[in-house]
Amino acid sequence: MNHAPFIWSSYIVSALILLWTAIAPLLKQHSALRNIRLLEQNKPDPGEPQDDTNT
Amino acid sequence: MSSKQNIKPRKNALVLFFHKMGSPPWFFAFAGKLIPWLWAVFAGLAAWGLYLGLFRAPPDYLQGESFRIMYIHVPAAWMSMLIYGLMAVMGFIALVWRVRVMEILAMSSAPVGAAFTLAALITGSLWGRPTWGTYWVWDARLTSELVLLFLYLGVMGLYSAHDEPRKAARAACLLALVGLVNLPIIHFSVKWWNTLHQDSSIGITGSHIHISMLWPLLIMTVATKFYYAANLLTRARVMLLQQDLRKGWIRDAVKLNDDSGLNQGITQ
Repeated sequence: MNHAPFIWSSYIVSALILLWTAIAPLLKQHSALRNIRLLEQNKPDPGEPQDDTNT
Repeated sequence: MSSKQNIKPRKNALVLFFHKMGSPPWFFAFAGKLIPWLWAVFAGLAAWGLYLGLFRAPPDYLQGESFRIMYIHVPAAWMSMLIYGLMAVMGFIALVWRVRVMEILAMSSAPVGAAFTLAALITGSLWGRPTWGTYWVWDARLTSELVLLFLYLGVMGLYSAHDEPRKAARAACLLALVGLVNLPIIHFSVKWWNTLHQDSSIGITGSHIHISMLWPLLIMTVATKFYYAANLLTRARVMLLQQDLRKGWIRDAVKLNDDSGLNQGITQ
């Protein structure tokens, strides 16, 4: 029996699993950083006077 | 007041370090500095171990070339158990002392442990076909390892099922502790029952593997530890980013480099 397909598929599958496990948090980090950036952009400028009127 | 009363108790450096680790801003910065080094050591060790294991180690006299699957299967199986044990310990600390960073570390461990368990199951199955003539049998070792995967998935599912992360983490930590009973079952399954899976070739007292085959295995074992550490810290930092999105310290830690947002970075 030729063992090469079993050996190489073992390493390829493991590499894919471990690669995805390493990349997935980086994608989440990118999304979290984008949210922080959006929050920062929407934050009111502390130098500007606030409009307190309820009209 | 006596001189003895004036002396402040000195804290051990290790105790101080653990106290600091409990602070999310300190942990975030510390982990950020460590992660690139951990990835670099992992890459170096994995490349070295794989080269020795795949190209330099001689074929096994019984199994031929198929034994080379061992260099990914065995470290992955060991990691699946080690990570579960660490997750349970961290979960215990989180439950007893309510340390938030420990909750985050325990919950960040689950996907990495699940990945190693899945890798161990798949590579074991692929090794089983040329060795045993079958991809799968419901023997004690294989079944208990599959139960371990379900336990990891259960912890992950329970954590994501609740909206409040701290309550979710406490429930998931409790499940992790209950699941700890599966670890001795996995380890002793080959002794307690008649299994198709072989008994362990490496123990504390020695090894039945020739040194030329053993070295790549030891290198890969150490490499997977660095992979876990790097992945764990990366995940923990991301979890902190997501949970503390609106807190001041996280905004201070994050540099927003340009208006387009393309070059965002995190201070380390």
